[in-house]
Amino acid sequence: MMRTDRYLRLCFGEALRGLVGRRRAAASAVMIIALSLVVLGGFLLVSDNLNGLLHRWRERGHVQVFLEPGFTVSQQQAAADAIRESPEIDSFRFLSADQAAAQFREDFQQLGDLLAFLEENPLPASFVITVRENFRNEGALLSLAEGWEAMPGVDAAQYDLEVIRRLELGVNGLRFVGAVLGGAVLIAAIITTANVIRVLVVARRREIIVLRLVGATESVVRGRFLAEGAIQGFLGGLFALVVLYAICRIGVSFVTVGGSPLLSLVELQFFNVFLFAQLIGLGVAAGLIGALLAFGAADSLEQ
Amino acid sequence: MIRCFHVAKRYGAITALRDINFQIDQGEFVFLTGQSGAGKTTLLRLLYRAELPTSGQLVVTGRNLATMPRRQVPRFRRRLGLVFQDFKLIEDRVVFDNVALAGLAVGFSFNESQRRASELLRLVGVDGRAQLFPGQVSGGEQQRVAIARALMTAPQLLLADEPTGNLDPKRANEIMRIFHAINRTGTTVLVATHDADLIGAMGRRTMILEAGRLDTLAVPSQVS
Repeated sequence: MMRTDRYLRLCFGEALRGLVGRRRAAASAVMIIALSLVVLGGFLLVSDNLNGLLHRWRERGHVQVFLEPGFTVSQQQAAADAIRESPEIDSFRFLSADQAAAQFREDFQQLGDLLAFLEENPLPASFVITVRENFRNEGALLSLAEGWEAMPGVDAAQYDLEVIRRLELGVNGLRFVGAVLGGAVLIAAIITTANVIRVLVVARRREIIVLRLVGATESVVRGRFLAEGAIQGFLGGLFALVVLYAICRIGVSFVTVGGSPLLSLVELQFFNVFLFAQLIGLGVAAGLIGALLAFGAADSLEQ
Repeated sequence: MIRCFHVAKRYGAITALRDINFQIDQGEFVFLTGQSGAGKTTLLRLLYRAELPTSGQLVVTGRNLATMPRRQVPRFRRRLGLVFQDFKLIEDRVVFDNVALAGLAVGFSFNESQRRASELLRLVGVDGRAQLFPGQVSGGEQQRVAIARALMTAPQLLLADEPTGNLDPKRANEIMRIFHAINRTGTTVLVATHDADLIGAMGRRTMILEAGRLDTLAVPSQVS
């Protein structure tokens, strides 16, 4: 049994030699692996960031209780008392119709004049309530909202979960599309890698025969080709990460320049370590599978 | 070293070898001769377990090749040194690397492979060509390199299939002298050749194959 360090040194040394010798073919395999991982990783990146956004949104635990137009002071006071006495409430504040209009003008500076063209302010007064952390789940929020909606002078109580649920559906759809598209391109990448290595196997047929004749085991004979696939996959994964990082940076600057009202929630981030490892691992796996598929050519050679 | 009992090899309807029986003892130097197509290469391929006999038993270095699992073939081959007419050198590796790679492939360390390659190339007299590619050296030198590679694992048995087929008589004799020297160290040598002059000059036991049948265990004077 060959020592592991010698085995790895032999396989990776021979693999690097083979890749340098056929750098054009190898580069095409690396590029197509990178392309597939950019597609897959791009969708993961977007969905991951959207998930983060939804998570932060959910964590806010905001419920907004809108008052009917023409509500009385006593109705407002009664609602405020009821809200204050609820054990689920962390804090709340009253937002008058004028304050709501001012906030709208601040959030949508380009649309601020819109309110001036309307005869009356359409934005109702409301209570903006922050629910305690323990109660930031759908069941508790729904129950609270229904309770407050039943109070006199209250028009409606809205919380974010409905929107979040829809957005989650969208994110999951995005992930699915990404998996399908990325998977399809990944299969193409595996086939390309297999073809590159198959060509290499044929070009190295004499070497394979010689190695078998001098007593090299099949793990040694095949190891270099597996190492070659793994290196191609690793380089493809690394290249994809660089491209995705660039895309991510551009995305951050785009969001920052856009001045979106969601900016306070959006914290565009690059992959975490797990996703980083996943992407590199997928690249290496694609390379290894390609190499395994290519062995048919080696098997037909003299044993 | 080699024991062959009623070995036959058929490829479909074609019988390449029939009822082959012989024995070669440790330390012997034996020639295997016959016309082209007589079955010399087929018999050698059976001996290094590139193929299995259709029937019969073949015991080489104590291993019954007919029953040996395929996964054990690499370890078995490390007991053998193989030399071929076409040298089977790797064209895009220099002479030194051709030899050293054989050491790395069977598990020697990098340093040991380098040291052995260096010694073996000196032994066969091509150390001055170590950094040249096979295409840059003569046929005789290429065959010496192939012999050096075959000796990397210090084999018990050296099998050579027409090792002088591509060489002029002078180079052929040089190669034979190397085989002779190797044999004197105790390595069993079996050389397949159709060169009667070479066989006559060496004066060793000779097996003659005719149409797949081992007809005669001849002494050199009987070979024509």
